[in-house]
Formats: sequence, structure tokens, C-alpha cells
Amino acid sequence: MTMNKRVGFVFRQENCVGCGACTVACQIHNELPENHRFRKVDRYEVKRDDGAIDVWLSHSCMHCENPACLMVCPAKAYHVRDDGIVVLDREKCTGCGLCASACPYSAVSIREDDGKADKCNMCVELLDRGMQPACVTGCPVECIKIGNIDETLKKPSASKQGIGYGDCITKPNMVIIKERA
Amino acid sequence: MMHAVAGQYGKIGNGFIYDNTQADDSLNYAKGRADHIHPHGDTVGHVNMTEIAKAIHPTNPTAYGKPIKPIKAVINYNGNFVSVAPNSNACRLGAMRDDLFLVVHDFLMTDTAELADIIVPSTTQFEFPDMGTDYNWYHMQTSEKVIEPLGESKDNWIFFKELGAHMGLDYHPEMRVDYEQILRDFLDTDAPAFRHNNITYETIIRDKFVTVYEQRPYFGDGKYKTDSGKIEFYSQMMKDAGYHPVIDFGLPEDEMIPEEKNLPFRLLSPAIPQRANSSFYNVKYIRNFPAYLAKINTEDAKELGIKNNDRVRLSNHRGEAFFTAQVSGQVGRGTVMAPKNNWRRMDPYGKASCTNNLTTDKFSDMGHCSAYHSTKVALEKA
Repeated sequence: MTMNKRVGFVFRQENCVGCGACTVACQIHNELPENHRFRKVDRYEVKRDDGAIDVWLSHSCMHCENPACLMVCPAKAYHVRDDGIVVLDREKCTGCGLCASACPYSAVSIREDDGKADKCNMCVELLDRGMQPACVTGCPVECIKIGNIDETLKKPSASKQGIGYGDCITKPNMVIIKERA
Repeated sequence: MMHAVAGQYGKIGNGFIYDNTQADDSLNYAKGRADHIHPHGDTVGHVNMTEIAKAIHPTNPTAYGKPIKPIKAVINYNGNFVSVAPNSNACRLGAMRDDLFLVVHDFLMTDTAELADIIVPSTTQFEFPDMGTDYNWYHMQTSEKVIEPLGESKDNWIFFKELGAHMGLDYHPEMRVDYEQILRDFLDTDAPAFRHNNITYETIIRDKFVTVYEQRPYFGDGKYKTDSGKIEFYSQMMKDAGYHPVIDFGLPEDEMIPEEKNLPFRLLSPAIPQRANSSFYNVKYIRNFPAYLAKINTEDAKELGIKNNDRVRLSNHRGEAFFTAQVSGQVGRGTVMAPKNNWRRMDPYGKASCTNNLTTDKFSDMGHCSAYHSTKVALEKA
């Protein structure tokens, strides 16, 4: 993988209203069971001088540069594409659950219906046809985008730290834009 | 009042907007609704939705504070009054009366449909061509029919037209027209916004989406419905109407019975983003978004020994409802916030629980509309 090709989620945390439309769009597109979510929206209450406000973190697989899921998988069910997207091949999964335990972002989980691991593949089947992932098109306030990580990080307002989100040894590929669009 | 003092009226971006009827008033309601029709010269009675619990009361039915004849039949369409109307326990009792014939015209098994004597299946928006607007009435758009009505479902107009025919009312020419003609009648208006922008039935059908009004400030024309035509800080008009001439300093608590007035918490029951009124409560994926949370002030929660995710009970003389606690610095002390209009059928704490079990069915003092937020409750860990 060449560094400058790496793509990831670019999230405008200041714009997110916590509606959860990204979660639902993802569930519908991926035909997930109702209680299974690749993308989650967490609420954080932040205190300010003029009171407290809700801040939301929409998150799914971080498509890490050093993916813990890939490292621990004994069935070699994970691979990293040239563009940095970490893809799970569920055909190879044995359901051992090691990946789910290893992921620091709780982005991998075992499905109740077939006992195998599942996670966000960044809708590669859409991306490869020039389309956008379901969460991106499903967001009514356009706070999730897919972007080149290295290019995006050159922006002064871009960071790998946000409320509820931080960098770690797996080198996650989500960037938070810390300004309102 | 503060906006008036600061001179903020009539400016875009002044933080003051409530303008959801501007284009609505421009439609030709008299023609579209055929206001001249009164069956056989009878007077048409009227009950405010806020007071439906009082109107269908088993022994003492009232409307606008006066006794009325018992209501023997209710047709519930485009709504779900058992969840939506205030004083919901009383609504349920009324809806379950043996001598009340309750017809529900809907495509979902709502809380109200569960209590119906007959459910008449309705079409969805996919089976019926219509036009709609956004909440603020800036735009109009078409809602196109994409499939034929399924099963025995009928759209609103067909349902009422056929019902009217069975009741012998089809001698009115208006009862024989189709729905397209009704839309045309509503749009047969000389309102400037429609005429200047050339908005007609044909242009809406052709363009599918039209802008009726560009964003404009509330009271931007500087005309106020006061005797002086100005904003009145001291108003003889208000005094003559029985209010304080400067500003009505009264609190909702002033009109409560002591049993409610002395309760420690004011209940606010706003909408939540994942629902629209009582819609979407049954929809796969959406129904799991929490609509049964009570937001409680951090200090209040501490005093009551309530932590996040605890089960809590809100109660007053109208009834009780159960929620999952969410401790938050975003609500003030003495205030608790719970989503409005949540369905009993989906309530994790059972069908007896519902936010509107608690809410008042009094009218607001000036507008005489609903006053859900003028409700007080007791709060405890349950």
C-alpha cells in the first residue's frame, strides 16, 4: 500500500446532530439484523461556561494502518486493500472472536444469526463503482465523507483526536475536522 | 418581548422565527374544503384535539368548558390520538367505552388502532398522488403514486367519499369530484406568492418541487394585529381581554390544582430527531432508537440517588409513566425532559406507560391550543 492512496472516514464532529441516520443507512444497505450495527453514534455531554452541550461521535471500523483484527485472525480472513481499506472476507471467518476482542474501537462484532465476525468494509462495492458509502449518503447534514487521509490531515482543523476518539497504536484512519462547515 | 425591546423583529437571522402558516393562508381553503357544505343545514360541532379525553369522557363529556352530547362514534385518520393527545389515560378510557364506535383508518397497528372496533386499511403515500409542504411552508412538492393501492386499502378521499355516499350525502357536487380537483381548488388562489411565481397545479406537477417563499423575516412587513398596528409594550387591547396590560407574568402553576402545583418537577416533552410526532415508532431499525428516556438534572439525580440507565417513575394525578434515566447537565434543576407521543405498544416498560399519561389537557391562556409543557410531575427511582 502506498501512503498517499490511503482513504478513511472524515468526520465533522461539530456538525453532527446525533440523529443516527448514518447507522440506519448502513444497516439497510448491508441488510444487517436489527440489533447489529456497524456504525454507532455515541453521545458525549461536554460542559462549557454557558452550560452543557451534546457532542456526538459517529464511528465504525477505523480501517487502521496496523489493524489488530488482521494481526490476530488465525483464518486470515482480513486483508488491506491498496487504498487502506480493511476488508473482512466472511467466507473465511471461523467465528473464533479474536478480532472482536482485539479491536480497540469495538468495531468488529460477532453476529448472532451466523456466529461469524462482521464489520464495516467502507461499502467497497459502492466505492469501486464510483459511489459513496451508505453512511455518507445517508447523513442529512453531510458530516461524514470519505477522504484521502494524508491530504486531509494537512488541513489546520484536521486531527486524529476528537471527543470520544483518539489515535492509538493501531493507527486508525479516521480524521476529525474541528470546525463547523 | 426581548426581541421587540432589542429591535430584532423583521430581520433575517435574528433568532426569532415561527412562520409555519405563511403560504398555508394563501391557499383557497373555502373552495378546497367546500366550506359551504353543512349536511341538511345541521350545525357542525367541533372538539379541539387537545380536549379529546374530555370530549369522549364516559359520563361527563365537555368541549371548551361546556357540556356536550355524548359522542357515539369516532373516525381516527392520519393520527393516533391515544398516544398523541394529552391526558392519555383518560383518552384510552374514552376510546374503550362500550358505547363508542371507534373506526381507525390507518395502515399501521397504532395504539389507537389496537382499541378500534373496526380498522379500515388506508393507503400509504406510495399508493396515492398528493402534494405536500415543508413545515415552514417555503416549498411545495409532489408525492407521487408509485404502486396501486394494496389489498383493500383506500386513500383518505375515497374513504370519505364512499362513506358520504352511504350516508346519502353524494348529492353535493363536491362529493363526486376526484382528488386532483380538490388540489386544483386549493391552488385556485390569487395570493401574490403563487401568482407572482406562477405556481399552479400544472407547474407543481411539472417541476415536482417549487419554492413558494424565499426565507423572510417573521413580521417582516411590520404589520401587527394590534389596535395601534405596532408592537405594544403597554396594551389596552390585552387589558380589555383580561390580561396584564404590560405582559402576562402569570405562570402555568397559577392555573394548576394544588395536587399538581406542589409537585417538584416541571415536565418538558419535546420531539426527538428519530421520530416525527408519533410516526416511525414501529419501523425496523428506527424503532430501536431510544424514545423512552427521561433526562434529569445532574444535581437532582444525585439528591434522588438516580444514576444513568436507572428505571425511573414520573407521576401526577393523571397517571404514571416509566423511563430510563439519562443524567444530564442540559436540563435545569426542577425540570425533567421526556420525548413526546411515544407509543405504548413499543414501550419497554409496558403498555400502561406513556409520556402523555402525564400531560395536561388544558388550553394555553391566549392561543387556546395545547399546553403540554405546563405539566408538573413527581420523580422517583423505580
